[in-house]
Amino acid sequence: MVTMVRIKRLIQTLPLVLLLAACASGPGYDTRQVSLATTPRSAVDELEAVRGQKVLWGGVILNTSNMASVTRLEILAYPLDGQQLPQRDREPLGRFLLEYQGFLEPATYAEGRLITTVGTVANSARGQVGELDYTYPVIEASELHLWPRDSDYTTPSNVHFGIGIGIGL
Amino acid sequence: MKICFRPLYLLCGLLVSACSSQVPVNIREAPADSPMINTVRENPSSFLSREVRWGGEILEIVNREDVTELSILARPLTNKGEPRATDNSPGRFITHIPAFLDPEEYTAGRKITLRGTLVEAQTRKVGDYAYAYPVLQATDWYLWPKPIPPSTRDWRYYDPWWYYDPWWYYPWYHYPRHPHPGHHGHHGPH
Repeated sequence: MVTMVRIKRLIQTLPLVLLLAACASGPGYDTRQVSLATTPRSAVDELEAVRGQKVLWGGVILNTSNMASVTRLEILAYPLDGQQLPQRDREPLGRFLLEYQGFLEPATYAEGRLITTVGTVANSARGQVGELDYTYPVIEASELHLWPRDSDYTTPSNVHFGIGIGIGL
Repeated sequence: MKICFRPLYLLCGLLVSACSSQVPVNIREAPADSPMINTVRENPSSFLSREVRWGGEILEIVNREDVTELSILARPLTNKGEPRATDNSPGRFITHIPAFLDPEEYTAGRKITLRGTLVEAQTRKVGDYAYAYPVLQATDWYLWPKPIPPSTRDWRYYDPWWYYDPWWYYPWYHYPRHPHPGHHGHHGPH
Protein backbone atom coordinates (compact mmCIF):
# COMPACT_ATOMS: atom_id res chain seq x y z
CA MET A 1 0.00 0.00 0.00
CA VAL A 2 2.80 2.39 0.91
CA THR A 3 4.53 1.82 -2.40
CA MET A 4 1.25 2.45 -4.25
CA VAL A 5 0.91 5.83 -2.57
CA ARG A 6 4.51 6.65 -3.45
CA ILE A 7 4.02 5.76 -7.10
CA LYS A 8 0.84 7.83 -7.19
CA ARG A 9 2.68 10.80 -5.74
CA LEU A 10 5.48 10.41 -8.23
CA ILE A 11 3.02 10.34 -11.11
CA GLN A 12 1.32 13.45 -9.74
CA THR A 13 4.54 15.45 -9.44
CA LEU A 14 6.08 14.32 -12.72
CA PRO A 15 4.17 16.78 -14.98
CA LEU A 16 5.11 19.62 -12.62
CA VAL A 17 8.78 18.72 -12.84
CA LEU A 18 8.58 18.50 -16.61
CA LEU A 19 6.86 21.89 -16.80
CA LEU A 20 9.50 23.54 -14.65
CA ALA A 21 12.29 21.99 -16.69
CA ALA A 22 10.69 23.33 -19.87
CA CYS A 23 10.65 26.88 -18.46
CA ALA A 24 14.34 27.09 -17.58
CA SER A 25 15.81 28.33 -20.86
CA GLY A 26 18.68 30.59 -19.75
CA PRO A 27 22.28 29.50 -19.22
CA GLY A 28 21.74 29.33 -15.45
CA TYR A 29 25.28 30.32 -14.52
CA ASP A 30 26.23 29.82 -10.89
CA THR A 31 26.36 33.28 -9.30
CA ARG A 32 27.88 32.26 -5.95
CA GLN A 33 31.48 33.02 -7.00
CA VAL A 34 30.47 36.12 -8.97
CA SER A 35 30.67 39.72 -7.76
CA LEU A 36 27.26 40.92 -8.87
CA ALA A 37 27.79 44.54 -7.81
CA THR A 38 30.59 45.10 -10.33
CA THR A 39 29.41 46.66 -13.58
CA PRO A 40 31.56 47.53 -16.61
CA ARG A 41 31.51 51.19 -15.60
CA SER A 42 32.48 50.58 -11.98
CA ALA A 43 35.15 48.07 -13.04
CA VAL A 44 36.99 50.79 -14.97
CA ASP A 45 36.80 53.21 -12.04
CA GLU A 46 38.23 50.75 -9.54
CA LEU A 47 40.20 48.38 -11.74
CA GLU A 48 42.85 47.51 -9.15
CA ALA A 49 40.17 46.48 -6.66
CA VAL A 50 38.22 44.25 -9.05
CA ARG A 51 41.05 42.75 -11.10
CA GLY A 52 40.79 38.96 -10.96
CA GLN A 53 37.18 39.04 -9.83
CA LYS A 54 34.60 36.88 -11.55
CA VAL A 55 31.72 38.76 -13.17
CA LEU A 56 28.47 37.78 -14.85
CA TRP A 57 27.79 40.33 -17.57
CA GLY A 58 25.64 40.43 -20.64
CA GLY A 59 24.62 42.74 -23.41
CA VAL A 60 24.45 43.37 -27.12
CA ILE A 61 27.44 42.64 -29.37
CA LEU A 62 28.70 45.80 -31.08
CA ASN A 63 31.77 44.44 -32.83
CA THR A 64 33.63 41.16 -33.32
CA SER A 65 37.33 40.97 -34.18
CA ASN A 66 39.23 37.76 -34.79
CA MET A 67 42.89 37.82 -33.78
CA ALA A 68 45.40 35.06 -34.50
CA SER A 69 44.38 32.99 -31.48
CA VAL A 70 41.87 35.14 -29.60
CA THR A 71 38.44 36.53 -30.46
CA ARG A 72 37.52 39.88 -29.02
CA LEU A 73 33.93 41.07 -28.70
CA GLU A 74 32.91 44.64 -27.90
CA ILE A 75 29.70 44.52 -25.89
CA LEU A 76 27.31 47.14 -24.57
CA ALA A 77 26.22 45.79 -21.20
CA TYR A 78 22.65 45.81 -19.89
CA PRO A 79 21.21 44.63 -16.57
CA LEU A 80 20.30 40.94 -16.61
CA ASP A 81 16.88 39.60 -15.76
CA GLY A 82 16.12 36.49 -13.69
CA GLN A 83 17.04 34.23 -16.61
CA GLN A 84 20.34 36.14 -17.05
CA LEU A 85 19.01 37.64 -20.29
CA PRO A 86 20.21 41.21 -21.01
CA GLN A 87 17.33 43.67 -20.73
CA ARG A 88 17.66 46.07 -23.61
CA ASP A 89 14.84 48.31 -22.41
CA ARG A 90 16.86 49.27 -19.31
CA GLU A 91 19.68 51.80 -18.97
CA PRO A 92 22.96 50.36 -20.32
CA LEU A 93 25.79 49.73 -17.85
CA GLY A 94 28.68 50.71 -20.14
CA ARG A 95 30.81 48.90 -22.68
CA PHE A 96 33.28 46.09 -22.13
CA LEU A 97 35.63 43.93 -24.15
CA LEU A 98 35.38 40.16 -23.93
CA GLU A 99 38.38 38.04 -24.86
CA TYR A 100 37.85 34.42 -25.78
CA GLN A 101 40.72 31.98 -26.33
CA GLY A 102 39.99 30.54 -29.76
CA PHE A 103 37.90 31.34 -32.80
CA LEU A 104 34.32 32.57 -32.57
CA GLU A 105 32.44 32.73 -35.86
CA PRO A 106 31.87 36.43 -36.58
CA ALA A 107 28.79 35.66 -38.68
CA THR A 108 27.24 33.98 -35.64
CA TYR A 109 28.65 36.25 -32.91
CA ALA A 110 27.45 39.15 -34.99
CA GLU A 111 26.58 42.76 -34.28
CA GLY A 112 23.20 43.04 -32.59
CA ARG A 113 23.17 39.56 -31.02
CA LEU A 114 22.62 39.21 -27.27
CA ILE A 115 25.18 37.42 -25.16
CA THR A 116 25.64 36.54 -21.49
CA THR A 117 29.08 35.66 -20.20
CA VAL A 118 31.00 34.68 -17.08
CA GLY A 119 34.58 35.95 -17.03
CA THR A 120 37.44 37.32 -15.01
CA VAL A 121 38.28 41.01 -15.00
CA ALA A 122 41.78 41.13 -16.53
CA ASN A 123 42.70 44.74 -17.32
CA SER A 124 41.49 47.77 -19.21
CA ALA A 125 41.97 48.90 -22.79
CA ARG A 126 41.65 52.27 -24.47
CA GLY A 127 39.58 52.72 -27.55
CA GLN A 128 37.54 55.35 -29.30
CA VAL A 129 33.81 55.80 -29.55
CA GLY A 130 33.46 58.40 -32.25
CA GLU A 131 36.01 60.98 -31.19
CA LEU A 132 35.77 60.18 -27.51
CA ASP A 133 38.51 58.23 -25.76
CA TYR A 134 36.78 55.35 -24.05
CA THR A 135 38.28 53.05 -21.44
CA TYR A 136 36.95 49.52 -21.57
CA PRO A 137 37.29 46.86 -18.92
CA VAL A 138 38.61 43.63 -20.50
CA ILE A 139 37.36 40.29 -19.24
CA GLU A 140 38.65 36.85 -20.09
CA ALA A 141 35.57 34.79 -20.80
CA SER A 142 35.17 31.33 -19.35
CA GLU A 143 31.49 30.84 -20.26
CA LEU A 144 29.51 32.20 -23.19
CA HIS A 145 25.82 32.02 -23.90
CA LEU A 146 24.62 33.43 -27.21
CA TRP A 147 20.89 34.03 -27.08
CA PRO A 148 18.67 32.89 -29.95
CA ARG A 149 17.70 35.69 -32.30
CA ASP A 150 14.09 35.80 -31.15
CA SER A 151 14.84 36.19 -27.43
CA ASP A 152 15.13 39.94 -27.90
CA TYR A 153 12.06 41.90 -26.91
CA THR A 154 12.23 44.06 -30.05
CA THR A 155 11.45 41.10 -32.29
CA PRO A 156 7.75 41.11 -33.14
CA SER A 157 5.92 37.97 -32.19
CA ASN A 158 4.72 35.65 -34.90
CA VAL A 159 1.54 35.00 -32.98
CA HIS A 160 -1.22 37.39 -33.92
CA PHE A 161 -4.73 37.70 -32.65
CA GLY A 162 -7.50 39.05 -34.79
CA ILE A 163 -11.24 39.37 -34.93
CA GLY A 164 -13.03 37.91 -37.91
CA ILE A 165 -16.58 37.77 -39.16
CA GLY A 166 -17.87 34.71 -40.94
CA ILE A 167 -21.04 34.07 -42.89
CA GLY A 168 -22.59 30.62 -43.13
CA LEU A 169 -24.61 29.80 -46.22
CA MET B 1 4.15 -13.16 -65.75
CA LYS B 2 6.53 -10.38 -64.87
CA ILE B 3 5.75 -8.51 -68.06
CA CYS B 4 2.10 -8.20 -67.10
CA PHE B 5 2.98 -5.98 -64.16
CA ARG B 6 5.11 -3.48 -66.06
CA PRO B 7 2.38 -0.97 -66.88
CA LEU B 8 1.44 -0.95 -63.22
CA TYR B 9 5.01 -0.15 -62.20
CA LEU B 10 5.13 2.60 -64.80
CA LEU B 11 1.94 4.12 -63.47
CA CYS B 12 3.26 3.99 -59.92
CA GLY B 13 6.51 5.58 -61.04
CA LEU B 14 4.68 8.40 -62.78
CA LEU B 15 2.51 9.00 -59.76
CA VAL B 16 5.47 9.13 -57.40
CA SER B 17 7.44 11.46 -59.66
CA ALA B 18 4.43 13.75 -59.98
CA CYS B 19 4.41 14.17 -56.23
CA SER B 20 8.09 14.96 -55.81
CA SER B 21 9.32 18.49 -55.17
CA GLN B 22 11.30 20.74 -57.47
CA VAL B 23 14.40 20.27 -55.32
CA PRO B 24 16.87 18.21 -57.38
CA VAL B 25 17.31 14.63 -56.22
CA ASN B 26 21.07 15.12 -55.74
CA ILE B 27 20.27 17.86 -53.22
CA ARG B 28 17.41 16.05 -51.52
CA GLU B 29 19.48 12.92 -51.02
CA ALA B 30 22.94 12.83 -49.46
CA PRO B 31 25.68 10.62 -50.91
CA ALA B 32 26.51 7.59 -48.80
CA ASP B 33 28.74 8.45 -45.80
CA SER B 34 29.07 12.13 -46.66
CA PRO B 35 31.56 13.38 -44.02
CA MET B 36 30.69 16.24 -41.68
CA ILE B 37 32.39 19.56 -42.29
CA ASN B 38 34.09 19.75 -38.88
CA THR B 39 35.60 16.30 -39.43
CA VAL B 40 36.97 17.40 -42.81
CA ARG B 41 38.40 20.63 -41.36
CA GLU B 42 40.49 18.65 -38.88
CA ASN B 43 42.18 16.62 -41.59
CA PRO B 44 41.29 17.91 -45.07
CA SER B 45 43.86 15.93 -47.07
CA SER B 46 42.36 12.57 -46.11
CA PHE B 47 38.99 13.55 -47.60
CA LEU B 48 40.21 14.63 -51.06
CA SER B 49 37.83 13.75 -53.92
CA ARG B 50 35.17 12.53 -51.49
CA GLU B 51 31.60 13.32 -52.48
CA VAL B 52 29.64 15.49 -50.03
CA ARG B 53 26.35 17.32 -49.75
CA TRP B 54 26.75 20.44 -47.65
CA GLY B 55 24.70 23.58 -47.22
CA GLY B 56 24.33 26.74 -45.25
CA GLU B 57 24.15 30.49 -45.44
CA ILE B 58 26.02 32.47 -48.09
CA LEU B 59 28.65 34.76 -46.57
CA GLU B 60 30.28 36.10 -49.72
CA ILE B 61 30.11 35.69 -53.50
CA VAL B 62 32.96 36.34 -55.93
CA ASN B 63 32.43 36.06 -59.69
CA ARG B 64 35.61 34.86 -61.37
CA GLU B 65 36.17 34.42 -65.06
CA ASP B 66 34.70 30.95 -65.40
CA VAL B 67 33.61 30.00 -61.90
CA THR B 68 31.58 31.54 -59.13
CA GLU B 69 33.12 31.24 -55.71
CA LEU B 70 30.95 31.25 -52.64
CA SER B 71 32.04 31.19 -49.04
CA ILE B 72 29.39 29.59 -46.92
CA LEU B 73 28.70 29.27 -43.23
CA ALA B 74 27.54 25.68 -42.99
CA ARG B 75 24.44 24.61 -41.11
CA PRO B 76 23.16 21.17 -40.23
CA LEU B 77 20.75 20.03 -42.94
CA THR B 78 17.27 18.60 -42.61
CA ASN B 79 16.69 15.17 -44.11
CA LYS B 80 15.46 16.97 -47.24
CA GLY B 81 18.76 18.81 -47.51
CA GLU B 82 17.61 22.25 -46.37
CA PRO B 83 19.89 24.19 -43.99
CA ARG B 84 18.35 24.52 -40.54
CA ALA B 85 17.86 27.90 -38.85
CA THR B 86 20.28 27.36 -35.97
CA ASP B 87 23.43 28.89 -34.53
CA ASN B 88 25.12 25.50 -34.36
CA SER B 89 27.38 25.84 -37.36
CA PRO B 90 29.91 23.11 -38.08
CA GLY B 91 32.13 25.73 -39.78
CA ARG B 92 32.83 27.56 -43.04
CA PHE B 93 33.62 26.21 -46.47
CA ILE B 94 34.33 27.51 -49.95
CA THR B 95 32.64 26.22 -53.06
CA HIS B 96 33.50 26.61 -56.72
CA ILE B 97 30.54 26.51 -59.06
CA PRO B 98 31.23 26.07 -62.79
CA ALA B 99 28.67 28.69 -63.84
CA PHE B 100 27.86 32.36 -63.48
CA LEU B 101 25.65 33.00 -60.48
CA ASP B 102 24.19 36.47 -60.28
CA PRO B 103 25.43 38.27 -57.15
CA GLU B 104 22.09 40.09 -57.00
CA GLU B 105 20.35 36.74 -56.54
CA TYR B 106 22.94 34.81 -54.55
CA THR B 107 23.21 37.42 -51.82
CA ALA B 108 24.68 37.11 -48.34
CA GLY B 109 22.27 35.39 -45.99
CA ARG B 110 20.53 33.21 -48.61
CA LYS B 111 20.37 29.49 -47.96
CA ILE B 112 22.04 27.13 -50.43
CA THR B 113 22.75 23.41 -50.56
CA LEU B 114 25.41 21.94 -52.83
CA ARG B 115 26.76 18.58 -53.86
CA GLY B 116 30.15 17.83 -55.30
CA THR B 117 33.62 16.59 -54.50
CA LEU B 118 36.23 17.93 -52.11
CA VAL B 119 39.36 19.46 -53.61
CA GLU B 120 42.39 20.92 -51.87
CA ALA B 121 41.67 23.02 -48.78
CA GLN B 122 42.56 26.72 -48.57
CA THR B 123 43.67 28.80 -45.63
CA ARG B 124 42.37 32.35 -45.59
CA LYS B 125 42.21 35.08 -43.01
CA VAL B 126 39.06 35.82 -41.02
CA GLY B 127 40.25 39.00 -39.37
CA ASP B 128 43.74 37.88 -38.32
CA TYR B 129 42.72 34.28 -37.73
CA ALA B 130 44.02 31.75 -40.27
CA TYR B 131 40.93 29.76 -41.16
CA ALA B 132 41.22 26.42 -42.97
CA TYR B 133 38.38 26.25 -45.50
CA PRO B 134 37.49 22.94 -47.11
CA VAL B 135 36.82 23.54 -50.84
CA LEU B 136 33.90 21.87 -52.55
CA GLN B 137 33.87 21.58 -56.35
CA ALA B 138 30.12 21.71 -56.92
CA THR B 139 28.23 19.66 -59.49
CA ASP B 140 24.71 20.36 -58.20
CA TRP B 141 23.38 23.28 -56.21
CA TYR B 142 20.03 24.62 -55.09
CA LEU B 143 19.25 28.09 -53.78
CA TRP B 144 16.40 27.79 -51.29
CA PRO B 145 13.52 30.25 -51.69
CA LYS B 146 13.53 33.33 -49.50
CA PRO B 147 11.29 32.98 -46.46
CA ILE B 148 8.25 35.21 -46.83
CA PRO B 149 8.09 37.78 -44.03
CA PRO B 150 4.75 37.46 -42.22
CA SER B 151 3.79 41.08 -42.83
CA THR B 152 3.85 40.70 -46.62
CA ARG B 153 1.97 37.41 -46.71
CA ASP B 154 -1.30 37.28 -48.49
CA TRP B 155 -4.23 38.33 -46.28
CA ARG B 156 -5.85 34.95 -46.87
CA TYR B 157 -3.26 33.35 -44.59
CA TYR B 158 -4.62 35.40 -41.74
CA ASP B 159 -8.21 34.53 -42.49
CA PRO B 160 -8.84 30.95 -41.44
CA TRP B 161 -12.30 31.00 -43.05
CA TRP B 162 -11.27 32.22 -46.50
CA TYR B 163 -12.04 28.89 -48.07
CA TYR B 164 -15.63 29.11 -46.88
CA ASP B 165 -15.98 32.70 -47.95
CA PRO B 166 -17.60 32.84 -51.41
CA TRP B 167 -16.12 36.30 -52.03
CA TRP B 168 -12.57 35.51 -50.95
CA TYR B 169 -11.31 36.27 -54.41
CA TYR B 170 -12.58 39.86 -54.30
CA PRO B 171 -10.26 41.74 -51.99
CA TRP B 172 -12.41 44.91 -51.92
CA TYR B 173 -14.98 43.02 -49.90
CA HIS B 174 -12.40 42.70 -47.16
CA TYR B 175 -10.65 46.04 -47.61
CA PRO B 176 -13.28 48.51 -48.81
CA ARG B 177 -11.60 51.26 -50.76
CA HIS B 178 -14.57 53.58 -50.42
CA PRO B 179 -14.45 55.62 -47.26
CA HIS B 180 -18.28 55.77 -47.04
CA PRO B 181 -19.63 52.25 -46.92
CA GLY B 182 -23.15 53.53 -46.31
CA HIS B 183 -23.63 54.69 -49.93
CA HIS B 184 -26.24 52.22 -51.25
CA GLY B 185 -23.93 49.25 -50.90
CA HIS B 186 -21.70 50.51 -53.72
CA HIS B 187 -18.77 48.16 -53.19
CA GLY B 188 -15.70 48.53 -55.30
CA PRO B 189 -15.40 48.65 -59.07
CA HIS B 190 -17.96 46.84 -61.22
